[in-house]
Amino acid sequence: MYKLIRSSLCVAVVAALSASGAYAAQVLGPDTDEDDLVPTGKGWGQRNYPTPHQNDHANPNGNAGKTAIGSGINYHGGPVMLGTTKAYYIWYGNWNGNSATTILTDLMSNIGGSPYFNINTTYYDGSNTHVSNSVNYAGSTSDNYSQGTALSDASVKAVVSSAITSGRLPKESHAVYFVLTSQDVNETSGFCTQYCGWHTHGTISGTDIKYSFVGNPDRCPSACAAQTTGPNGNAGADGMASIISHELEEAVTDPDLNAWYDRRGAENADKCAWTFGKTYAAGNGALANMKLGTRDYLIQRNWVNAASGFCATSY
Amino acid sequence: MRATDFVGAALIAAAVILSPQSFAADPAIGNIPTVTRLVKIFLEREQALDAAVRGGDAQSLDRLLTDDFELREGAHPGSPVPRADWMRDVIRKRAANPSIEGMAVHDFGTVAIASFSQSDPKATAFIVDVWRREGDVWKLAVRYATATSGRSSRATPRSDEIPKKY
Repeated sequence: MYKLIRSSLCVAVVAALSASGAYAAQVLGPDTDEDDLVPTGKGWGQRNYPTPHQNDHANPNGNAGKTAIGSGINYHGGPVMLGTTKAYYIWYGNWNGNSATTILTDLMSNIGGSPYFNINTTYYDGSNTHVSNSVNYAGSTSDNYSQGTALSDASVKAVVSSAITSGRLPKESHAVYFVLTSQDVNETSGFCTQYCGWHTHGTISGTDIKYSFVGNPDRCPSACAAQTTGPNGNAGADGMASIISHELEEAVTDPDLNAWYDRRGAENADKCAWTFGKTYAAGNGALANMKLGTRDYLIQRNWVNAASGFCATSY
Repeated sequence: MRATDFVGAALIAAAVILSPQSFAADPAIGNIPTVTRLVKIFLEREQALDAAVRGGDAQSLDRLLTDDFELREGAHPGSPVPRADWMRDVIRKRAANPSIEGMAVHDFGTVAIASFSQSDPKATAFIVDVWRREGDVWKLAVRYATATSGRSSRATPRSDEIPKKY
């Protein structure tokens, strides 16, 4: 009898749950030339539980839960990265002859001071000190497959740790270290199927280090590249430019995962992922939406923490 | 134990298992990933399904399904639920606003497979949706669904897992 009841209950549960889909609300196609929009409030994202940030609620300033009223994103008391943020690249795998090394170096060398990065100045800490529109591309190193071609999250941290402890890159808490992997390298926790990149922080040699993984979309263009031909003629690198920008602006405004995110756990760039605003045709016909330095890029919009909040490409 | 007691206990247990408090115990620091373009697209499709079901909109639901859509449940692997029966059932039941967790999308050209865990306040199921592209439109061709009796140990991420996929 129990078996029958249990079976019936199981079927009923499946039927009920399979009856409907996601709660995901506002979703914008990557090619949508939409005006600035405000999410409906449900967000398009998914989460594994209410928020990973709940696990990390440091509250050094006693301002947890402080809200920029009505802007769609909340301050939870943690630090932001103030002053000039340094950025380091770790070219992992084989990047020989790939124009990505110049395209992405140019990106990081010119993103600071841009109207685009200025969006991040709408974020501030518990002392009301605002993020600066200043980024210093401070250098790079390479890693010749020290962790193989199938990386775990722990392997990515090991790559960063190796670069720092070997002295190839300096150890700095006020920097973001980007591990950029070549096309033949996978990140086995869900690259290409669940995510295109991520950022986090962790202790390396006694210092809190902010670091990020960004894989090469040439491995999965339909998942991680917005278009098959990028404005700089390198679809993988052009796709990485948007993901790197996404991770950088999240790292600056939520470096320890306890500062700025909304009620669904979405950080500033999450709220505008895969939306690009108004675009134009670059010289090779590919779509772009901003010029940084001498190059055109197609970079996702970011969330402006002002007024009622909105996605934009400049502020 | 009477049958009604069992059902009641099961529902209470499910409610406890799925309470928000049960999520917040893991002390791990998570990574904050950027969701793929395909995950975003198929979250949108799942949202459209949900809207059609909860709105009782059979026409919209019809447009989201291939002509040969069927549901296959883990409890009855050899007995698919036909398209018309499924549509009638889901519109009649109109499940409570569910949430999706852990979506992954595998792209095989004109076929894409989206897997995820779906929960409402009372229960959780693991779902695999097979989407087929017809012209420029993705339509749901097969849904595989299995109720989970509660959260597995992997529902709470290990310290080296990414807890949030966007």
